[in-house]
Amino acid sequence: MIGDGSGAALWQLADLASALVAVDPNGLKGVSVHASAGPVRDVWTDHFSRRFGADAPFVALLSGISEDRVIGGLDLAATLAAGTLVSEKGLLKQADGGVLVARMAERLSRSNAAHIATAMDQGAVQIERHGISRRSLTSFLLVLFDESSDGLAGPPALLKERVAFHFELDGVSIRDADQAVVDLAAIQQAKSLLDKVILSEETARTIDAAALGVGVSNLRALQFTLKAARALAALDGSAEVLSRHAELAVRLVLSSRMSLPPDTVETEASPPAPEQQADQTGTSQDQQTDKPLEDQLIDAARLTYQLQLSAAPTKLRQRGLAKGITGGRSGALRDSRNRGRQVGSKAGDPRRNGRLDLLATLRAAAPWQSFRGDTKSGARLQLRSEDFRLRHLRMRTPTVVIFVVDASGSLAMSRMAEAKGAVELLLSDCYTRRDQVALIAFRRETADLLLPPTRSLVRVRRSLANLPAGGGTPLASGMAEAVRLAVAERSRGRSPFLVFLSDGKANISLKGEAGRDIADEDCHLIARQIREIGFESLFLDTSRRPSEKAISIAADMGATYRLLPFADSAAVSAIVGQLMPS
Amino acid sequence: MVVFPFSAIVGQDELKRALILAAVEPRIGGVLALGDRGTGKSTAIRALADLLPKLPTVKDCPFRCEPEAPTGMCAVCGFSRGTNVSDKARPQAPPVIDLPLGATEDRVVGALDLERALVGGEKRFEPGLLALAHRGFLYIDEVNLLEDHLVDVLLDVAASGENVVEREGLSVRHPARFVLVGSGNPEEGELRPQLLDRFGISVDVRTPTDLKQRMEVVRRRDAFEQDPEGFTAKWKRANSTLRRKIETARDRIEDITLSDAVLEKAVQLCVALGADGLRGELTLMRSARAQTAFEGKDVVSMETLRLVAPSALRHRLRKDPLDETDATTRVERALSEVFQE
Repeated sequence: MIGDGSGAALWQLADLASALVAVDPNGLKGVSVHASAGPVRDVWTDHFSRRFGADAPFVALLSGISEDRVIGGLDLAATLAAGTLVSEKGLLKQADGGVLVARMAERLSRSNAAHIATAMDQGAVQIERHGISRRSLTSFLLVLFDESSDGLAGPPALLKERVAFHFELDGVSIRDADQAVVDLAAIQQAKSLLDKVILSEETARTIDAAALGVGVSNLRALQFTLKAARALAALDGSAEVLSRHAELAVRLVLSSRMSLPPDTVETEASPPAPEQQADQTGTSQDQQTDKPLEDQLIDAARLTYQLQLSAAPTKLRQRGLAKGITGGRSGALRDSRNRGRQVGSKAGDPRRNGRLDLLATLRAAAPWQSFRGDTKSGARLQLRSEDFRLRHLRMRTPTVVIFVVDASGSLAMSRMAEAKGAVELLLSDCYTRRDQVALIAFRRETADLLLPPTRSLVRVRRSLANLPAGGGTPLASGMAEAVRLAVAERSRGRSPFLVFLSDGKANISLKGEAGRDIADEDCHLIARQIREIGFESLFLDTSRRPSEKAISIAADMGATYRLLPFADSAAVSAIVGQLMPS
Repeated sequence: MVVFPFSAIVGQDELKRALILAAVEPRIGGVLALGDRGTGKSTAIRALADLLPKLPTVKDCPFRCEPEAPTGMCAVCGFSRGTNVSDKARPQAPPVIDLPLGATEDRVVGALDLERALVGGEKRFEPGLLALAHRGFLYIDEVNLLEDHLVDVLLDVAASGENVVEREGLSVRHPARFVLVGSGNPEEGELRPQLLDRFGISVDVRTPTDLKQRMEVVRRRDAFEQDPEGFTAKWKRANSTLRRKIETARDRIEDITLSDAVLEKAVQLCVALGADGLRGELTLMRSARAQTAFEGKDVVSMETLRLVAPSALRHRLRKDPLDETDATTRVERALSEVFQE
C-alpha cells in the first residue's frame, strides 16, 4: 500500500462506512463526507453508487436551490396549460428509494435543511404551498458533501446528526483511494444476514457506556453505533456482535461526534496501522487485551478522533472550540424590490422595477373572469392592470460586528488573543451570511482600527499577527472610534453591532489626558450618543466581579451586559452569535 | 402512516405530562418543547393525536364547530343551526395538524380555491391549516425558524380565536381556536418573545443519561422500526386507558377545588420569579387543576402545584443579565425557597 499511512487508514474507514450504509440503508441513513470535489471523492462516490444499485435514483441537491424545488409545489406552466392545479414533485420525493446528494452541504439554507430533516424523520414530505396540500411518502439516503475549507462551519447540525457516519477524505491522496475494502458479493451476503445478527444486551450497554464516556449522549448517535455494529458483524459473517465489531462501530460513528478539545485526548496512542484496520473487516480473531471492553471502546474512539485530527487539524480544533455555537442571527431585515426572500405579494405595476408574482396575479384575476366575458381572441384568461401582483421581498442586511477591545494593563495580551480567536470563530460562522467583522483596540492614549471590516480569515490572521498591548485605558477613545466606524458602515447599508471587551475602568480621557473622573465622564457621553443613534451593542465585562463602572456605561449605551471574567474566544463568539441583531 | 405510540415513550416525563395537560385543558394555551436533538420531541407530539377524546361536532361543517357554541360565529353552520342541534352533532376526533416549515400564507389562512376559480369561474374559499386545526392542535416543528409574517398571523389568530380572511375578493371569517404546540432546538435560533409568551407551558427536553433508560429507548425504537403495526397493536390498550383517563379528567376539571392557601402559594411563586403578567398565574392554576383532575383527585394539593410549576413558569422569568444560570435551575431555586424545603 502506498501513501503515508494515515491517508490510507482514513480511506479505509470511509470506504467501509459506505459499505455499511449499503448493508443497512434504513438504519444508518447516510454519510457526511468532508471532501472537496476531486478524484478521491469521485472514486468514493463511484464505489458507493455501485454498492447501492444501478437503478436507484441519485438526486443532486445544490445549495442555493429554492424551497419549491426541494419539497415540490405548483407546476405553474402545466397548471396554466391544463387549467387545473398540477403539482410538481420535489427533489425529496424524486429521491425516494434512492440517494439524495447534497453538494456544498455547508451552504444549505436552514429551511431547506429542516425540510430534509423532517422528510427523513417522517418518511414523507408534506406540502402546504400555493393552494396545494399533499403528503407523499419518501425514503432516501442522505449524502452530505461538506466542502467547507478549514475552520469554517460545516453542514447544518440537524442534518449531520441524522446520518450515521462523518468522515474526512481531504487527507486522502488518490493513491490511497484505489481499492474497495468490501466487495459487492460480501454486501449482498451481509444484507441477508443482517436481521439474524444478535446484539447482546451487555454489548449494547457497554457501547452506550463508552458513548457517554467520550461525551456523546445523543440518542441517535447511540442508535447508529448499535446498528453499525450489527452491520459490521453481518459483513464479517458473524451471527453475533463481537467486541471487535463494537470497537470498529464506535470508531466509525462516535469518534467524529466527540467534542473534547484536543488536549484532553490522550496522546500516548499512535495512529493505527492500516493493516490492522483491514483485518478488522476481514476474519481476524478478537483482539486480546486485558482492558475491559468499555475502555477499549473509549480508546478506539480517541484513536480515530486523533487520526482525523491529524488529517484536518484546524477544522477539528475549531469545531471543538465552537461547540454549542450554531450561529447567531442574521442582520436586520429590510424590504427590497428585487432581492431577498418573498414574504407576500402586493398590487403594483410590474413594469416599474418589480418581480411579478404570477400565482398571486392569477388569484386576483380569477374571481372576475365571468364578468369580463369572452374575447374575440378566445383567450382563456383575461388580465387587467389591477390584477398584477408583485412579489414583496425582504432581504437581510449584512451585519458588521465591531469588536472594541481593551488592550491596556497586564491581562491585555491574553484578552487580545482571545478576541482574535473570537473574531476567527465568528467569521467562520458568519461566512455563509456575508457578515463582516472589524476590530478596534485601545491602549495608552489612543484607539486603533487594527482590522477594518472584513470577512476574510486570511486577512484577520495577517492583520492581527502582532497585537500591541499594555499602558493606560482610553476606553472613551475606543468607543468614539467605534461610533465613527459604525456610522460609516451603516451608510454603506450594513447594520453595525458593537461588542466591547473591557472592565470599564477607564483612566484616559478623549483628549488623551490621564484622570479617572474625566475619562469616565467621556465614556458616559459617548455611551449616550451610541444609544441615541440606536446602535445595537454588547458589553462583555472582563473583570472578576461585576464592575459598577462597566454596568453603568453599558446601561447608558443601552447595551446588553454580560460578565465574562475568563473571556475565552469560544464563549465570546457564542454570546456575540446569540445576541447579534435580527 | 403509523405513529409511535405515546404510551411506549420512555422517560421524558415532563414533556408527556405537558402534552396530557394540554389535552385535558386546552385553555392552558399550548406547549413549547425546546431542547436537545434526538430526544423524541416530535415523536411525542405526533403521538398525541391518538390520545385525544372525540368531540361532539356539527355535522357537515368544514370548520368542525361545537354544537353548543353560540351561533353566528361560523359562516357555514352558524346561521343554519336550529334549536334541535343534537341530531346534527357527530363525535369526531380532534385534528393534530402539522404546519410545515415553508408553508405559504395562503395555505395557512386559507385562500381562493384557484382550481375552481380558473375552471368554473367559481369564487370559493379553500380553508387553510388554521381552519383545519380548529378545536384541535396545531403543531410547528422547528418553531424558532418560522417565518416572521406567519408568526404574526398565528399571534393574531391565537389571540382572537377567529381567522379573518380578506383577500382576492373574498371576505371570510371562521372560528380558529387551537392548541399551539411547538418544538425546536434553541441553538438554531431564538423565539420571538411575543410568540414565547403565547405558549402556556414550556418544557426543557434533555437527553437522558441513565444507561437503563437509554437502552430501553433504543430497544423500543428498534422494535417499532422492525414492525410498526405489531408494535402499535401491543401498546393499543395502554393508549386507550390513557385516552379514557384524559376524557374523565376533562369532564371533572370544572369541579376541582383550589384552596386559598394554594392560590396564595402560586402568587408568591410568581412574584419570587418575577414571572410578569397575569398569564403566568393563570396558566399555573389551570395546569394544577388539570393535573389534579388527571390524577383523579378533587382538591389541588401543594405537591401538584409544585409539580406543574416549572413548566408553567420557566419561560416567563424576568431576564437578568447578571444571572447566567439556566431557567430550569432558577425555577427550582425559587420553588425551594417558596416551599421552604
